[in-house]
Amino acid sequence: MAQYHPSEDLLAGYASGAVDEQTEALIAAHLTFCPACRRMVTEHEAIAGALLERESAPSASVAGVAAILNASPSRAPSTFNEPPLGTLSKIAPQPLARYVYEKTGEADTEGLNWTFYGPGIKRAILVGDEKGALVRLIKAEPGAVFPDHGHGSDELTLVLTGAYRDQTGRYATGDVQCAPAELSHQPIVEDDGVCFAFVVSEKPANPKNITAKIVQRLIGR
Amino acid sequence: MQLEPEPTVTPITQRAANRLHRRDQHSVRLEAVRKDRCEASFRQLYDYYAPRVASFLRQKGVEDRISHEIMQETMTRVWLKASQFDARKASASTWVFTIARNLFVDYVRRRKRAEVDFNDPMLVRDDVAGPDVRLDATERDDALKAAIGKLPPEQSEVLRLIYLHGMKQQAVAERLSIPLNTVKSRLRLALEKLRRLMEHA
Repeated sequence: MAQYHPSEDLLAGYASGAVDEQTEALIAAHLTFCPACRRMVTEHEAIAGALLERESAPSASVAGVAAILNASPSRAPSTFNEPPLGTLSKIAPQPLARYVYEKTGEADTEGLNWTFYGPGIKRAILVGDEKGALVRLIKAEPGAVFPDHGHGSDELTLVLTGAYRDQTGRYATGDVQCAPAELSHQPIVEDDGVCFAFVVSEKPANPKNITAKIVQRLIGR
Repeated sequence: MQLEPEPTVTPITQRAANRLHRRDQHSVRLEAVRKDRCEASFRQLYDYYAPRVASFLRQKGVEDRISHEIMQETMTRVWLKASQFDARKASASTWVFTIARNLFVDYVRRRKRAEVDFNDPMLVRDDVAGPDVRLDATERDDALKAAIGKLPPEQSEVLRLIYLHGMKQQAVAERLSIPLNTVKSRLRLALEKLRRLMEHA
């Protein structure tokens, strides 16, 4: 059961259809793991439904309703093709696996473009580039230690498998860490499994300072 | 001579009957569409919801022609997919809202909205409240409607902009020319009040 949840603002934004697509995918994936947040979203939708009744309403067109009732019954509403989902759906809930598939055309975790991020840590950038990754999947081996980094903007991390710790807590499958721009942290992956995570930030993560950047490079080469 | 025993009514069916009785008229009509493909009921639903959905979309900044199209597709789905309506889970208004919202998101993004897939093997099931313990959704939504009606207008306006029109709190502050903190406190007060009133419903 998830211990860390998206803020109520984000859940309300999700319910009203106002969050961007990567945040929407992250929240839908968290909801798959979290019945408590599903109940919250249902409540937000009920508020929106009740408010819909209070909207001003000029009269409806007669032609509009006739067009629906007279349409041939075979006319099915348009549906989107479901992509064939491979090993991605073993680590990610359906809405997130679909999002990754739409961004990359990849249905398998192994097929993603993984690049070195630190010892034992790889990332696959879905939106943005090496200098400014906005949306990415992270794959960290057991025991991996992330470079100490600041954020420069708010960042949401959803843990898919495994677990990591930093000074703010322990994050395991289904948990969402909402890291404020000012948080500087050094997550450490627990020893008993590979940690996959999905990360969405508003702006690129910045290594804490130039020294950290250099150290990162030295470790990398 | 032996008297027929009084027909016994179990508390559950009695409660179910009361619920059915108390259901709002739109949910009753939608039920009639679901069960009997009742055209007269659908016409009434169309008269009620079509203008509201169109107005909701226009206020999201969708141009008239497109908002008419999305509205018409929303009502088409109400007609064709009524079998998926479940009054225990959502009232008619909430169900119609979610259809319009999803079509709006699909239209803006040109892709499907990300939603929980209830067949997902990773789904963690909700074992807290089964259908019997949970307050019937249409009952809850009726209480909610009444509760929203009792809010001061400045609070219901903030709710409307955030929930229905999907505005960020900052955007609401700019629209109403009030400080962000005022938006936050109106929202908090409104939600507290709604939860309290719903609990006492």
